[in-house]
Amino acid sequence: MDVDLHADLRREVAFRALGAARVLLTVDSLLDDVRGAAGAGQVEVAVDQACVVIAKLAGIAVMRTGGEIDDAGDYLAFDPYSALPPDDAERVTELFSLAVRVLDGTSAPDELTDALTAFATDLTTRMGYERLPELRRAEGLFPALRLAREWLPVVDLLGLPDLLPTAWTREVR
Amino acid sequence: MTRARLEQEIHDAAGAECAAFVAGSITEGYSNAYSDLDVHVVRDAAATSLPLMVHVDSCRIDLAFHTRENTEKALRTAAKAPVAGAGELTRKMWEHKRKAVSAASRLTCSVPLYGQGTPWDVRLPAEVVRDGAADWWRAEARRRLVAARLLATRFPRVAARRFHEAHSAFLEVLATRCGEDYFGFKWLPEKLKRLGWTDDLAAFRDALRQSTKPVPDFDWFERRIEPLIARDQADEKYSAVFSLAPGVSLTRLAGQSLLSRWNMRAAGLSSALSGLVQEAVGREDGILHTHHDWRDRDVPDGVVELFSADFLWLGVGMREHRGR
Repeated sequence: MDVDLHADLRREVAFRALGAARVLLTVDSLLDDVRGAAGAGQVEVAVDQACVVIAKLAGIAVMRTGGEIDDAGDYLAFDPYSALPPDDAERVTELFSLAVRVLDGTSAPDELTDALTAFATDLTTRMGYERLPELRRAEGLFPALRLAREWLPVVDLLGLPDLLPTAWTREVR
Repeated sequence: MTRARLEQEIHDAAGAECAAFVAGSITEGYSNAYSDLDVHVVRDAAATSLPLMVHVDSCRIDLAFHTRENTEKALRTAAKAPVAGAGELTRKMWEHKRKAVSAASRLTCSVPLYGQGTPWDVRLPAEVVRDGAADWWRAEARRRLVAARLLATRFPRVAARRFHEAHSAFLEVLATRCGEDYFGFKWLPEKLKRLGWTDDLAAFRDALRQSTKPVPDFDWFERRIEPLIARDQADEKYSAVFSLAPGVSLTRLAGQSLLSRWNMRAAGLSSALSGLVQEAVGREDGILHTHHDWRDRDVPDGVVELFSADFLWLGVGMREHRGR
C-alpha cells in the first residue's frame, strides 16, 4: 500500500507521538515491574501491574479509533475499552484471562509478560516505528530525546496534551 | 555497587553542602531484580528538576535533586491533615498534596547516605508522615469508590478497576496506620503479607480477579468495602467535587453548546447543562458541582453523564473537619 489514509490528523499525531511517549515513559517501566515481581514470587504485585499495563495499552490503541487521548491515572472515568477495534478488544479479554490464570498458578508469568510485550510491540509497529528506544536502559536516553525533539513542535502546534512530565520541562528555580 | 562507591559518586556530583538519602522499594525490603535505587539529594539550590537516570556498574539509579526550601514546604503540606483542608479539592490541590505525601514518605522511609543532622536533613518524624499518608488514602479511597459507583452501569469494566482501586486504598489506610507507610499502590500485597493479614490478602486477590471481568459482581465489592470503612473508625465528612477536566473547552454554535476535550471529542449540551458548564468555565477552579455527601448516590444525571464521558475531574472535599 502506497497511501495510508487517516480521517483525523490530530488523532494520528496523538497516537504516534503521545502513544509512543506513553510506551517509553510508562509501559516499559510497568513491564519491568511485572517481570521483576514475577521473578521474585510477588505474584499479586505482578498480576495487578499487568492489569495496569493492559489498560494502558488499550488506552493507546483507542487514541486512534475514537477514545479520549489524555489518560493521566487520576482521571477516574478514562475509558480505554469502548472504542477498541474488535481484534484489540478480543486481545484485551484474552490478556485479562491470562492474568487471572497466572494469579491462580495455572499459567506461567513468562507467558503473560511475553503476551504484554507482543501487544506493546504490535502497537509500536502501528505507530510507524520499527522499534522504540528503551528509556530505562543506559543506551536509550539520547535516542528517546531525539524522538521527543521531533514530536514536541507538532504536538504543540496541534494543541495536544503535554508530551513530557512537567518536571522535565519546568524551569529550575 | 557498594555504599562507599555510591556515596563517593553522589558527593562528587552534588558537593559537600547537602544531604543524600537512599529510598524506594530496596530500602523497604520489597525489591526485586528489576528494582532501581532512588537517591534524593537536598541542597540549597537544585541542580535540575529532571529526575536523572544514572547507570553505575549494573545498577540503575534514579537521582532527584530538591531544594531545601521546596522540600520543607512539601513536608509541611504533607503533614497538614486532611487532604482538602476545609475546602473543595481541585486537581491542582490533589496533585500538590500527592507529590508532597510521596516526597515526605520517600524521605522519611529512606536510609541517609550522608548529611544526617545537618540543615539539609529535613525529614519529619515518621508518625507525622504516617498521619498525612493515611489521610491521603482515606480521601483517595472515597474518590475512587464514588467514581466506581457512578460508572458501574455505563462502563462496567472501568468501574470494576475503580472498585478494586478503592478497595486497595481502604486497605492502604489500615496498613499505613499499622506502620506500612511506604507510599504508593504497587506494594500493597507485600505489605499485607508482612502484616500477616491473610484474609485481607485473599480479599485483594478476589478483588483483582473481579476487576478483570467484563461484568463483575459489584455487590461483592460493596460488601467487602463497608467493613473496611468501619475498621478505620474515621469520622470525616467528605463531599464529592466535580470540576472541568484539563483540555475541556466550550463552543456556542447555532444556539447550542458544544463541549470538547483537546478539540477532539465533542458533546452537545442541553440548555440547562450548558448554563452550569458556562458557569464552571468562568470559575478559576473550574468546579461545576459539589455533592454534599460523598455517600449520597443521587448525583444529578447531567453531572454523571459528563463525568462518565471523561469531561469532569472528580475530587473530594471536607465538609467538616474535626482536627487532629
